[in-house]
Amino acid sequence: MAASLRTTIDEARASAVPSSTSMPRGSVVLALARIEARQMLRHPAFLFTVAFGLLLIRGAVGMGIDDDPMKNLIWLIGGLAIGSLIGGVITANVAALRARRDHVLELFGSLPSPPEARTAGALAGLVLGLGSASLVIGAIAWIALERIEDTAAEADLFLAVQYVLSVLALGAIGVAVARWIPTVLGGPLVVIAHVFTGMIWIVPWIAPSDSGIGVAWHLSYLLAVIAAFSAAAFLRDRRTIARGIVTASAFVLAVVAAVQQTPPGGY
Amino acid sequence: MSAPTVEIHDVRKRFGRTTALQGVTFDVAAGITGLLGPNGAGKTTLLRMMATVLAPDDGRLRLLSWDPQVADERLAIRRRLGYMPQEPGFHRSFTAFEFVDYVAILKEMTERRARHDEVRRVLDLVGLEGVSGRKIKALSGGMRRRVALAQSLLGDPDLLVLDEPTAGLDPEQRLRFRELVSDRTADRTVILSTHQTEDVAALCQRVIVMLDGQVLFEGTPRELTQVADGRVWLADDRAAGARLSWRTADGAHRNIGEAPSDADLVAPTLEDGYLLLVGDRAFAEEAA
Repeated sequence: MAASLRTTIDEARASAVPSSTSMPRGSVVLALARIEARQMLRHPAFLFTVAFGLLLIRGAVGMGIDDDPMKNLIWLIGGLAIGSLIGGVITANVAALRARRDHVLELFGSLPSPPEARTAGALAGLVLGLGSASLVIGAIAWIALERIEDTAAEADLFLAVQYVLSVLALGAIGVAVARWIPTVLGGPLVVIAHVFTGMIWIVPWIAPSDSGIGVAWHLSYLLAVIAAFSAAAFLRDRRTIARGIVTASAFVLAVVAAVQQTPPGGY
Repeated sequence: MSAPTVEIHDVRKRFGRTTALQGVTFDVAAGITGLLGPNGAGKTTLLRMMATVLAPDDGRLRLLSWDPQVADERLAIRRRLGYMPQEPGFHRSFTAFEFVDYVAILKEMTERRARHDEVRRVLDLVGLEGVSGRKIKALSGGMRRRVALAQSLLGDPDLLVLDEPTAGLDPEQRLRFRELVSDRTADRTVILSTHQTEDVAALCQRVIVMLDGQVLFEGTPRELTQVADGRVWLADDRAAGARLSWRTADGAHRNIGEAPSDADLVAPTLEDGYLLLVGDRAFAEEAA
């Protein structure tokens, strides 16, 4: 609590004079994205959760839950996916929180790039790092499952796309939470909220295409979540009417898509 | 004095009930200017304003001929500014190179090769070339301050604002800092706040002494030293009229204050002048 109060005071001090411009240079964002992507992918929180997801599932499989090697592969892919989803939230949250946590806001406030550059850098780093990594995992999983006769039925391109978008959506939530709730507990709280409150079942993140879910609406929902939380992160940097309208619109779209994706009779 | 690069006129700042600055006025030209004063004198508040991270409540401030209150002009200032805060934070999980590189990007140095060359140059300047790949959390306090100094030198800024740059540095590093700063001030402006009067005496063309949010003295280091002319003497014991007195290594007492007529006067230092100046004001306030 004391640390949080201190960061709030630091921020108030640092933001006493607003930044000169609200539009960061594209080249600045790209350069920051490279650094953020590298930091996210090698962050212990990300590596640990991915390894934990793998080991947890592998351990469960190894205990004889499923002796079929093909099913084993599916379990492993699932473990990798779950690990990277959870790791994505935490590491994106940590990346967006770094400047406040490390008390560099005063220094950064004296530099020509506005705070939006760091927010955009974290979001672009999310796409470049975790997005690319999840794309590779999703592609390998899809190709592997499709090429093996016994698992071909499990291969679902829709699932792979959802996985990539879900990593980005949860990462965007991690960034937005860090910008609005400057505490290291933010990332884990998002994970706990999803896993233990049942929210994940109210609004599915990843659902197979044969579940009856509205495919187009579901993808729209995931994209709207990414847009809404990204806009919310920028709204924290500078509260303008235009940003408020964009954020609200994206959230409305997310809610509409969440309702529309649900098959008749419920999910 | 050449044309001022920093113009401060009647600047005031309050934090709640605390008055940090009460009508500060001075100009600074190219060269090195030292800001001296006890804790709470308002130095850091003033430097934050010069670093464009804090706005005055009242008064006028112009930096490099621009007004930091105007957005476009503030951006122009920030592009030519180097700032080392009093308590610089660091991304502890970054290496020294990565952190300075990160700051360089925020300084809009986006061409990768040129930026990396510049980062290596400033790390070499502060003598960190050997540890640039080490994580900041593994560096000593002195090394971290050199990282902070290195980032402030990125792009060879026209205005360099340094808040206690030599705090925590060992004597060798302090000498290296003096060499570094004095080498680059032909047409640049350096403003440094410090408690080290030796640094001011060795480096600065101008010195400003602050106390209780006001400018108490503005002049050359020589003029500040002259404040103590005829007021520093050696004696066997602490003298009755001395404001300050301490026993030196050879056993004699160095007294500062109103010297008796038969005193064994010695040449004053800048520190003597500073202590008398600040002490005189404190004494006057106490008497009032």
